[in-house]
Amino acid sequence: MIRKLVRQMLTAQTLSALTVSLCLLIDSIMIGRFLGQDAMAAYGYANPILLAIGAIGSMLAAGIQVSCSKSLARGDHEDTNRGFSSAIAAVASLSLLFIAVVIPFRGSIVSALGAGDSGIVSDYTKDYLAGFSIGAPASMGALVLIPFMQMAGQSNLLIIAVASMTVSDVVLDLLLLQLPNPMFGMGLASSLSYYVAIAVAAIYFFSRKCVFRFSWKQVSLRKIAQLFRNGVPASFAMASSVLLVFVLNRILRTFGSDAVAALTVITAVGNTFGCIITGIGGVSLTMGGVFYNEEDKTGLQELVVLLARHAVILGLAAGLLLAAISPLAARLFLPPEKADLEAREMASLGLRIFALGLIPASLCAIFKNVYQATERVLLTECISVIEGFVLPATVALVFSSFMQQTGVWLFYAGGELLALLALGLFIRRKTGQHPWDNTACLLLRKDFGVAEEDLLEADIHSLDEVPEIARRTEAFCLERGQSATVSKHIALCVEEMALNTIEHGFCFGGSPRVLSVRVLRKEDRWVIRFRDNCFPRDPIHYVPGEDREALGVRLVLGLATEARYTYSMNLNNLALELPPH
Amino acid sequence: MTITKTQNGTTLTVALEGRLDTMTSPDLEAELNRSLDGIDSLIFDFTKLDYISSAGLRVLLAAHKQMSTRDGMTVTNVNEVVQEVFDVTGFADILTIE
Repeated sequence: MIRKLVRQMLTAQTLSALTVSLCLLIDSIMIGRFLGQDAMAAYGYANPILLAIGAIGSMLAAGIQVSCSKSLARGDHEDTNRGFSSAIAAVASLSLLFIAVVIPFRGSIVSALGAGDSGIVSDYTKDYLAGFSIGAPASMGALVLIPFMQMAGQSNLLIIAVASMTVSDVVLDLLLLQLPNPMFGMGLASSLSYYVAIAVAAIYFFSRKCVFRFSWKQVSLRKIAQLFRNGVPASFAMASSVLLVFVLNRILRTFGSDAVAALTVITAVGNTFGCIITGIGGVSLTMGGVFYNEEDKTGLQELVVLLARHAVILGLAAGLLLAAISPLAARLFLPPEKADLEAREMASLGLRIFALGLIPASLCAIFKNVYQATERVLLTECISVIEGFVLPATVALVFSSFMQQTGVWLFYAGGELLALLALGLFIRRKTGQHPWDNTACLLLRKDFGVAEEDLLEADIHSLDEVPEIARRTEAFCLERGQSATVSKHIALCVEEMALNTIEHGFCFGGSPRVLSVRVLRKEDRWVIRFRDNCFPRDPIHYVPGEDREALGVRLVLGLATEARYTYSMNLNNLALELPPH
Repeated sequence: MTITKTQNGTTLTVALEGRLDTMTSPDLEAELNRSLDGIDSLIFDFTKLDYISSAGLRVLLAAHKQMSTRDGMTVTNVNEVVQEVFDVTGFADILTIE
């Protein structure tokens, strides 16, 4: 089940990462092709501000993924809705504040970014910022709604939203380029296309089947603070990106606007290909959080191995593709009639060098996000800063001193390779084991999870398998010193809930159904976890009053001290707790 | 599961040994369908029954309904596990347990 889930989530996460990058990429192409090199340089100078909007949204989104995966795993719908309401309120307030600051003070902001106080590049930068800032509520909102849509299993609608946004951005770019103020038109086009994406997503959030409920009464400053706190590691990554672009722009400014324009092309195309990395990171964070809250060491290990394989394959494919199309991409962004040959050649070379960093970047993303999901917050923040700013900026500074702008292009590949090496050395030092040994790379605390001998796992595919699993469960409990009574109670719970799932969930066609059962012995309780890939179904709350057909569920709820249901990652999850002895 | 039947006049005693679960409850149901004609009183002996699931409860309920129009049904020698199942599901209030 994990393999299929990883594939599904990776597709959705990668595509959703495109929500920000695609608009920026389309804008880059349009600006370069129709407005020229100076406009391209202006777009590059505006990038840190665009990234800052993305940083706030990404920080909240990361906080939602961490916080809401925990509340969902606990079955705490009230806290999940509190998170949803608080996140929406935070986006609304912060984005309006953003508009209120950026639009009136854009002159000072543009000057601080290095675009100067006057001149065509400065004017273009101010105009673009004005147009793009209008879309701040929608671009932040889109980032925040993505994790909720994924948790609700709305991957298809997410894809439709991304596609709608892309199409509308292209159409609006072509229309608004005709404005007397074309750079303002380009920014405005991006803004409006984000609103289109939000409108598509609203189809789910305003529907009756939406599992999240907004209520002003549930907006909580404490919850907003918690979401930001949980998302702080992500903000370190974004802040590092913002700083890095700023530093690289400053270094390249000495080589002329050709070089700044080339960097804009490299970051625009590179970020688009980097959606794979964002997707891999997102899956690591979301699924890692769920496995961590269930103390599922095996699940975490399997997740990391699977994602690492995907990282190498996808990173290699994307890298080869990027290297092959780099001259074309450079020409697309900087056509001969609008830009110098030198700028195109720099962009092409820079893209080829950038491609080398995709595999190490993907691998770093896995570990960074798993560490965030497993509450190693300080480590995550350190990796974000070192990988996202310190190492690439150092590489750019050192190599540019004797290789000029070519040395700067090494920032990405050099930074990511060094980051991966540093991480490996850290894991070795911390655990005394090789990073690829067993679960060493997960850096889990020693008392995490349960010993293998205290865990029983089984997958059930049909009714015939149920009695045998129940017998195995009873024997497993007896062997660990449980009384015959408790052992039989636990076996009964396994049998009843397995039957319930198969009878009411397996019958509706579609892909092959499987029920995964885990029985864990903890110090003070037994935990039984059921996870199936059937349609959303909450067996706990569907117990009709006196209906004898609900006997099995009634029996289980009478024996268990606690029962929690959640629907996340397109899976039904039920956890039961029973007292020991 | 082993099913042992003893008939004394119009009283049938059914002793179960083992587990009454999803796999074995159809066997008990079939046996009862074959045996209840002409029976006025049904007694279940659960001395050697150590496990009962909801599937087994449904068979007991069906038998209880059938016998309610006659002299009735009694369940005897219930162990701790089975008694708790009866208590939790409310069957302790429906069945006659001795």
